[in-house]
Amino acid sequence: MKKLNEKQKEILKIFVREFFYFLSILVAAFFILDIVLKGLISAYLNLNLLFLFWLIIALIDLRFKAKK
Amino acid sequence: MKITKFKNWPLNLKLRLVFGVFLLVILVLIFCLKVVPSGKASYKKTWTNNFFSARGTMLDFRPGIRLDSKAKSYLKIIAEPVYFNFYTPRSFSKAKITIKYFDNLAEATPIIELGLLKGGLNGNYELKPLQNKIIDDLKFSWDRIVDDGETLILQREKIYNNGLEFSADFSEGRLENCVGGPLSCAVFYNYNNDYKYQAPANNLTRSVKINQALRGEHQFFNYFNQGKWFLNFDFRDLNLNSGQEIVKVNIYLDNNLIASQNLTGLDLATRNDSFDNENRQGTSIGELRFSGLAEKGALYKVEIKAGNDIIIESIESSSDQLVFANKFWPVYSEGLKISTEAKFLSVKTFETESLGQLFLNEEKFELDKTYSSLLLEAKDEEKYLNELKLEKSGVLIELNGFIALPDTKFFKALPEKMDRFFSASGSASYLLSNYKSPKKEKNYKVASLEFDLNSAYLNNNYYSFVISVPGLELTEGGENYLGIKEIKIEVEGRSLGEKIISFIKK
Repeated sequence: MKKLNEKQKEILKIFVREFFYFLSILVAAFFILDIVLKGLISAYLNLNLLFLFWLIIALIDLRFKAKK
Repeated sequence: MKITKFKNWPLNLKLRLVFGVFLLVILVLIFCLKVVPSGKASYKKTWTNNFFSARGTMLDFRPGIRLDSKAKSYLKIIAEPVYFNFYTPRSFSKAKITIKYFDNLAEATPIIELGLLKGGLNGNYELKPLQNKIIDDLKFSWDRIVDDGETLILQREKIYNNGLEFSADFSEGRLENCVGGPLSCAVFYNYNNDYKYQAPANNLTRSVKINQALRGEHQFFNYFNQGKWFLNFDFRDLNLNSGQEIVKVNIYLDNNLIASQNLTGLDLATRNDSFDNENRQGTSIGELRFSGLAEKGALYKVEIKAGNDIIIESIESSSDQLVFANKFWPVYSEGLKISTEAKFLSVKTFETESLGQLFLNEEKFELDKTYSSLLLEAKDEEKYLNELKLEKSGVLIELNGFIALPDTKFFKALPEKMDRFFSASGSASYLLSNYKSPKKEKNYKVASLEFDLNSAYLNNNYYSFVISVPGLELTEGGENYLGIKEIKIEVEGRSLGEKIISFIKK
């Protein structure tokens, strides 16, 4: 597999960070809306899997942070 | 203020803008899902073994003991009834439900029905047929008078040529080749009942007070001659359950509600969770009194809606022409005798002290299990009225027919309703029904039903449904079952535009 150069690594880091922020807002909004709208979100979306996905992104972001 | 061009923005800001727009789109989508601007929506549930699938809008299929959890690609119903909830983001006015299913049911369970809960937690399920195999067979062996996809009228022999001829006779309370009129040889099944009971000439009635205590919800028919009529009820709250008990009495004339009163029980739960059939427990919560003027002799239907914590202490009526329908649950009495025209009776008890013997036309039956139904069959075909003697009290009787007490006069208020015990070789010569046979689609059957959601009970955005296969009970091996592959619910209500217009007009 082709190794990423420093600039590409930096872009990836920023993307992961911003995606993590976006996902955090989305997950929080979905959980709150699911309570307020009495189950509307969980009817269409598996919130447990979404939470797991958020956790994976959070770990990747944390790993990038640790490498700094 | 200096505005920099988008291409000169730092990468993180560009990404934030893109994700922000994406978030906004998602929120708009959620708003649309919640409000359903068009007023029409369609929800579907298929049984697939998909780990990633969401909860769905149709959920909570229960109780688990009546379902075979090993079947993953379809819902396997091995005993009835099975309940489920349907989630809707808002209220709608009507629903079309399409069910794709297959079955491996025995001959003793020819009817499959779907019901929608109406009128609150103490309400009833409005049951509609998904399939009635008896009618599916009769459609080919009997003559069809009317079969327009909605109404189905069959006759054993070809007597009437069309629906108009039949309706003209039926509305006058007579039918060809039928001495006793519709009451003796017509059978209803899921039929929008326009039948009007006609009392015999010189019908004499006298007032009666029924002191037989009854537990929970009951329904009875009372015929009043021309003149003043009254109905009085006394109620008692057993206080076995905590929470307020609400008793509601509805009186109908020709299917129109003419009087309704409520009574609220005191919240005096003693937490004594056993019911004593000998000693009268609980507290009196009061009485309800109704009276009116009958312009001509007419049949009144009375519904007493109450939970099992309520005892109907007494019923006083100006007419003794009074019969209970479908369910009868006497308490605080021993050796009670009742009369019924029903050939099959299902009896059940929830108290060990109510276990014991029952006699149906002198034939002895032993009720030896609690929470389990015992089916009683009157063997004497010639006998019109069967007598049931209850040695013990607290026995719940369920039947497809009417019950009279020793103090009241028996009469058949409505033509017989078709149930799973119907025999084509019996006395019935006409069948009236609002039934449509399911369509065949490869290995499945597809049935569609429409429900009015306006009067349905909507609890926290959930409608409650029941799937019923009368007679389907748990058996070892579970070889008799109903398999549901797909449920599709199309709902319809007011659109957002219509809602805004009606809001402005207010």
